Amino acid sequence: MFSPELKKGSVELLVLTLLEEEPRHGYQIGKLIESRSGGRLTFRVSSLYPVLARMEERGWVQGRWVEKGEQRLRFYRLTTSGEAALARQRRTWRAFVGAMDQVTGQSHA
Amino acid sequence: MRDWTEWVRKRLPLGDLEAPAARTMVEEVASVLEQVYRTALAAGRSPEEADAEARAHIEDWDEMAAELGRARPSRRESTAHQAAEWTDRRLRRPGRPAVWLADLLLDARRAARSLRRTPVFTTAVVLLLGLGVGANAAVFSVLKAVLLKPLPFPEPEEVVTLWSTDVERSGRGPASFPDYLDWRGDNRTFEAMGATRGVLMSVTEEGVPVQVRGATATASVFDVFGVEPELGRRILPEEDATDARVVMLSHDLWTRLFNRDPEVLGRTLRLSGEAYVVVGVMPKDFVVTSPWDANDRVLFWTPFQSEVLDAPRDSYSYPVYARLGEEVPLQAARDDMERVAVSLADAYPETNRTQRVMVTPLHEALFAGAGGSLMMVLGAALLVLLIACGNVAGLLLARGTVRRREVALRVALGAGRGRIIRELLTESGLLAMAGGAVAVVLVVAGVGAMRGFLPSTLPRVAEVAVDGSVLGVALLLSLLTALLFGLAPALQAARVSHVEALKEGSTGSSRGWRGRTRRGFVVAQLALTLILVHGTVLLVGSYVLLRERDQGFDPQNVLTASVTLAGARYEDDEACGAFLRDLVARLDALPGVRQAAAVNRMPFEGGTNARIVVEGRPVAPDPNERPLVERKTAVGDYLSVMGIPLRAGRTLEEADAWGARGVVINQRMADQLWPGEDPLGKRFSFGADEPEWLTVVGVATDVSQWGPEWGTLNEAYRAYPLYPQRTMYLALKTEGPPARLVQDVRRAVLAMDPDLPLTKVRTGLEMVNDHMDQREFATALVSLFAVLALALTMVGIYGVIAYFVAQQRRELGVRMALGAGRGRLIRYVLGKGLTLAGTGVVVGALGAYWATQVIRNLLFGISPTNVWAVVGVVGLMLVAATLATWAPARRAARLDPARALQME
Repeated sequence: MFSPELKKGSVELLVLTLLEEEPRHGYQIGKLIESRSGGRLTFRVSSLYPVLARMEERGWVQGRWVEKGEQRLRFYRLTTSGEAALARQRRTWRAFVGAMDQVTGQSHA
Repeated sequence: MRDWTEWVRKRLPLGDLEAPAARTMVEEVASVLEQVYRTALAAGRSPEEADAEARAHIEDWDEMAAELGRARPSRRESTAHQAAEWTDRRLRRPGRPAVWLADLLLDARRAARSLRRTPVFTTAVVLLLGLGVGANAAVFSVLKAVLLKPLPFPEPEEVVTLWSTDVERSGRGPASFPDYLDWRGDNRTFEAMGATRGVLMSVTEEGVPVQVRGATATASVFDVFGVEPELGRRILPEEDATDARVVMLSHDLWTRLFNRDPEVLGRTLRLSGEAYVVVGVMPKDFVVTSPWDANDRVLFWTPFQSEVLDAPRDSYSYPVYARLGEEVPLQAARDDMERVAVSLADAYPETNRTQRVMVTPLHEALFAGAGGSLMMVLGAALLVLLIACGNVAGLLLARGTVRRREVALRVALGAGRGRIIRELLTESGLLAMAGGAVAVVLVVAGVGAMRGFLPSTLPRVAEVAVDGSVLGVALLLSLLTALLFGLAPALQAARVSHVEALKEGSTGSSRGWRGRTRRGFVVAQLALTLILVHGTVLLVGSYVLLRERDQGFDPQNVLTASVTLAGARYEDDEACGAFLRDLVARLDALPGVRQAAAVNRMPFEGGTNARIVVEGRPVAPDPNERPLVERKTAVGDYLSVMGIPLRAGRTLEEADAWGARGVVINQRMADQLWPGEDPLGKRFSFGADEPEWLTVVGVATDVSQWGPEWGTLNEAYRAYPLYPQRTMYLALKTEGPPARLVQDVRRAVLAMDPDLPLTKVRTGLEMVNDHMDQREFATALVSLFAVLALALTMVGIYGVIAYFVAQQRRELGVRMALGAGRGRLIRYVLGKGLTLAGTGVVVGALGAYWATQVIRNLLFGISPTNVWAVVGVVGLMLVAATLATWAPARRAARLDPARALQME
């Protein structure tokens, strides 16, 4: 529906936003993006996981194994630097959307 | 339900990441897939549908691995990055060379780390390379000193020796002086030509007379060598064949006798009692040796005396040296001298009808003799290197199999194949350098150890040393071998399709290219080893046969020494005879001496021969068709002293010098000249014109004149007055160990002539050994190499079969489960080993047939196609192969079928 480039550029912001609410595991993140976007945004594990791994490497999120029933799930939570990153990315995103709106001539009420 | 973790692990190529990070990722992806699966089940799908859904969840494993790899830089890569940055900073010169160097450094670090992780492999390869290369470098150090060093003259390749040869006889010898003068006058291809004649003179060194080798030489000899004196002048052309008593000293003799006195010119040197004026000193590097013995240095030069002009045309005593004209090829000189010889044959048919000239590069003339056995030893060392390389290549291939997945993953992650090849080659390079280092240690130790038993008869043996070029050869050989044997596995590894490699089980397969190649290497090793062992058996056989051969005399408790009667006191033959008779009598009386005698040539020392006429038989008009006989002259009962048994008649007596002139001949001569007749009482003469008849009074056992490996020639022993010679050997039969008597003998000689030096003092056994030691040395080294080769090959066979057993666990388990007994399994595995061995043996036997043609000349008393040697060696190879296969076969038989089947 959206081109992969478009999705790729925004996936970090989406993941960070979802993790701001509460710690979640990867599958849940994928499912939430899918449901909240009304099925318009879907990410496969193969593209979502490298993003999580990259953000963990940068110290934005922290993963932790949790036993749930007979399953082991890896939950990610936002770190302080992740919060800062989220704030930065939100600002950039808003500026970007604003600029796009100005050029394309639409505005939010 | 599926074990997702295992399933993911098999598919997600994360080998490049550090283990904990990779494990976490695998587990995480697995947990996601499991959730996909559960969710699907919960949504009412069948387990099969849920499984398929989960499996389809990840579309591109390689892409994901690549993404993950980028997301989490491995420690390795971050170090690599740092290293590159560091190098760039260091060089402060961004651009290609820096990048190239950084990459190299990076590859080297990566390779070093990778090698450290497999210490057994690394140690094995380094030791194998070290051993193979070390052996070669050690042999090279000898070869270099003996054969490869150029002669110490300008343009040494232009210097040749000219020999007289007789087209109807084999062999070559010095020229006659009249021939030399004609060669020199008539040739059109030589820039300079000179004749020499070796002389032994005594000088007094620190109050003791010593014998020194010198040469009388024409002035032109120094044009041939092209070397100017360090002090003074050379012999002048106007001094040629005059009676000028001048001498040029070698640097060595100048040092020994004059302590390098710069004022030596004009001083007097007494040579065998006569005064010579020193006119020049040659430079230190100018070392000329006797053309017969490259260790016997010429220490001084004097001009020929006028009497040389009267030398007859058939007296061949003058070694001739010449320098080729500029740009004249050797063949042109040979053709030129053929022309000269033919014209001399026309001019002097009596002496020169069959005489031709042999032109040999001086280097070849001096060193070719030692070349054969040294080249053979080098050949054996090279075989060991090849065999060790076979093992190295086998190890690299096995490692390549294990690393297939790693390489495939890195290719999948975007590493260029060129880069992978370079990295693997860097690894080989590191192995090579480590191997080279081990080799250097082995060479230094090996050459040190070898010096102790290097044959003293080897030319220039004192110059054997480990120097830069030897070390260079060691490193070059290591690099070459490592690259050569690292290249095939590297290319193969980089060519691999990563999809296939990743799909395949983690163990790889012994079938396919690698398995075939490894087996190929082992077959080649077996073949090479068989060649080497077979050659060794023949050489050892030859050595033993030679040792046990009855030489016709008894060297036990014999002491020999040489004296040369030179100077005014010995000008008269009768004076020499009287002196020797007195000396032998004095030696005979020494306590501990059973019997003493003197002779002109000891066994194995060669001889001088002449043609004879037999009484009552027609004299062949062409002297070349008359029988040739070696001439011996003896003082005292030489035959008894040397333990040479008499076959008929009696030994020589003093009275045989007069009257009927008794002579003792050898058995061969008796058989040749008087077959079926009683030789005693028969007469022959060395001269045809006015025969001086000699009467055969005894027949002695044959003794080889030219060495233990050679046959015997006709020989006649005469009493000294009938054939007086200046250089004589003293021979003593002693009561006990002969070495104890050396001082007594020396004193006895000095008591009679305080200026007479005693040389070549040896026991009989030493004399025999001197003629065996080059062979002994070569045989010992080749045997050592053969044992090494055999051990290396056994390791190679073991490796392949053990690998085979490990690979075939399942199949072996199935066979066992199906009721194959342990014995059957052992036979099955042994069969595999013996199939390899059989192939190797067949190939090797063909190779051995060819190789024995090469060493044919070095064999004695044993045919290169000796059936027993072949059968024995083949048997030995099969036993060795069985031994090497036995342990893995036992391991196969001890397999637990249940566990073997579970694996994979």
